[in-house]
Amino acid sequence: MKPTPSTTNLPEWLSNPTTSPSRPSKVNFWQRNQRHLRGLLNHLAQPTPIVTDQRWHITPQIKLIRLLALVILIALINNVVLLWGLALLLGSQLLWLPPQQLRQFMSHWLVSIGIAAIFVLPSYWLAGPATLGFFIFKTSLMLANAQYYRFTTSVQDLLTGLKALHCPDIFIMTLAIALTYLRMLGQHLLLTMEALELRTVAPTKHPYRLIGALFGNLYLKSYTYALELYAAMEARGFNGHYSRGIASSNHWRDYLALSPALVAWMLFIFWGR
Amino acid sequence: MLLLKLVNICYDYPNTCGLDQLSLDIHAGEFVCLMGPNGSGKSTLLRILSGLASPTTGDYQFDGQAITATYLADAQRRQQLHQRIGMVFQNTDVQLFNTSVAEEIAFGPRQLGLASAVIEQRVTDCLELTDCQDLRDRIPYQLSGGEKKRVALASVLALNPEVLLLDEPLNGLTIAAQQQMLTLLQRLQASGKTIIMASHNYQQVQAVAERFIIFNSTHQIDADLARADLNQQPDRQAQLMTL
Repeated sequence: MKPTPSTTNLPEWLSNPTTSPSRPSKVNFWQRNQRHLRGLLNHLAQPTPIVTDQRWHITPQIKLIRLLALVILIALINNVVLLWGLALLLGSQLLWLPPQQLRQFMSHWLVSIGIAAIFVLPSYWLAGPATLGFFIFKTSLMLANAQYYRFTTSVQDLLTGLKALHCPDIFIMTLAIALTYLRMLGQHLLLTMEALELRTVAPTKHPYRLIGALFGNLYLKSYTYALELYAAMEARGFNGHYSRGIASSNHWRDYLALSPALVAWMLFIFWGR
Repeated sequence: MLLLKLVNICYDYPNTCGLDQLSLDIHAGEFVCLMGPNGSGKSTLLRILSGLASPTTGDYQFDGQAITATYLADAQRRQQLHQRIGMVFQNTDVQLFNTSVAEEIAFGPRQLGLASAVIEQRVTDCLELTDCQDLRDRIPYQLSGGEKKRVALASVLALNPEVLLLDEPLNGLTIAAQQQMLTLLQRLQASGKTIIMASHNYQQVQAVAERFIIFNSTHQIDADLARADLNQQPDRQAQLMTL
C-alpha cells in the first residue's frame, strides 16, 4: 500500500524535543503503589499451571468428592491422631508434585494460612493457646487440601465435576462465566494501568481522579461486555440450560484414589465406639 | 546515532518463552517494521522497549543508558523514559480512560506542566494530524475501533516522544485511514522520530518501512533486512504475504 502524498507540514513543536517546565519532584502514594498493584494484577492474570498425571487420571467428580470428603472430615474431627494421619496422607500426595509446583504450593499455602490466621487469632483470648494451635492446624490442613486440588485440577475439570455431581446448571454457568470474566477484567485493568503509566510523565496532581477514571472505565467495559456476552449466548441458542460433556464412567483408579478418604471417614465414625 | 540496543534478550512467560536470544541495534530516525506470525514475540519486544517489562536475561540500552529492572523501579527515571518513548497498544480500548477525546489528548501535556495555550495548540494539532477534529468532544469509550486507534495515536503524539512504538496500528482502519496513518508516520520519521511498528500485513507496510525485522515461530529473529534487500528476495516477500 502506498501512502498518500504529504500535504501539510508537521507542527513545529513536534519536530523539536519538548522541554518540560516542571521536573518530577516527589513520588506520591499512588505512584509508589501503582507498581505493586500492577505486579499483583499481573500475578493474578497468569493462570496457575496445572499438574496432571496422564498415567494416573482420576475423573473430575471423584477429585471433587475426595476434596469435599476430606475438608468436611477435617472440620468435624477433634482427634489429633486422625488429623495427623490426614496430614501425612496429603504429604505423600505432595511428593508427586514437580519441584517448581511444590515451591509454588508452599508459598501459596503459607500466604493463605497467614490470611486465615488473622481471622482465627481472636480465639486466643476466648479459649487459650491450645485451642488456637488446634484451630490453626485444622485450618491449615483444610487450606492445604484446597490448594492441592487447585494445583491438580483445571477450571474445566472443576466444572465437569460439578456437572457430574448434578449441580444446578445456572450455578455452573455463573461460575464458569465469573471465573473467565474476572480474569479478563483483571487483564483489562492491568493493561489500562500500563497504558496510564506510559503516559504518566510527571507526578500526577490529582491521582485519585485517575483512579476514579480507571475504575469507571472498567465498570463501563464490564457492563458492555456482559450485554455482548449474553447476546452472543442467545445467538448461539442459549435457553437457560448449560450443557457440558460429562466425564466417562468411573475406573478402579477412581475408587482407589477415594479410598483413603473413605477409610478416614470410617475411622472417624467408629474410633470412639 | 545508536538509540536502542538489545543484546541476547530472553523473556519468559510462565510456561512459555516470549523472546529467545534476541540481539538488535536500532538507530535514531529509522522506520522499522517487526513482522512475524501471531505469538512470535513482536508485542513482547515492544513491551520491553517501552519499559513495561524487563527482560529475563540480556541487556537493553536506550540512548546509552542500561534499562534494567532496578532502573525502572525508580519512578522519576521511568517517567523520563516514558516521555521519550511513546507506545500505541494493540488493544487501544485500554489506552483511553478520559471523559472526552480532547481531554484524552491533553492528559500527557498537562502533566508536563505546559501552559494552557500550548496544551490547546497541541490538542488541535494532534486532532488535525490524525483527522479526528470531529471527535473532539466525543467520549472515547463510545468511539469505533478505528477511531480509537487514531485517538490513541493522537494522545501519544501530544507528548512528542522521540520513539514511537506501534503495535498493529493499522488493524481496524479503513483503507483511506490506513494510508493517512502511514503518511503521518512517514512525516514523523522525516522529522527525526524513530518509528518501530509491529505488523503481520506486509502489503500495508512494504512501501513505508525502511527495515524489516522478521520473527519466526520460535521467538527468534529469522531475518533483519533493509527494504532494498527484501525487494530482491521474492521468496521471502511471498512468505511475508502469507503471514
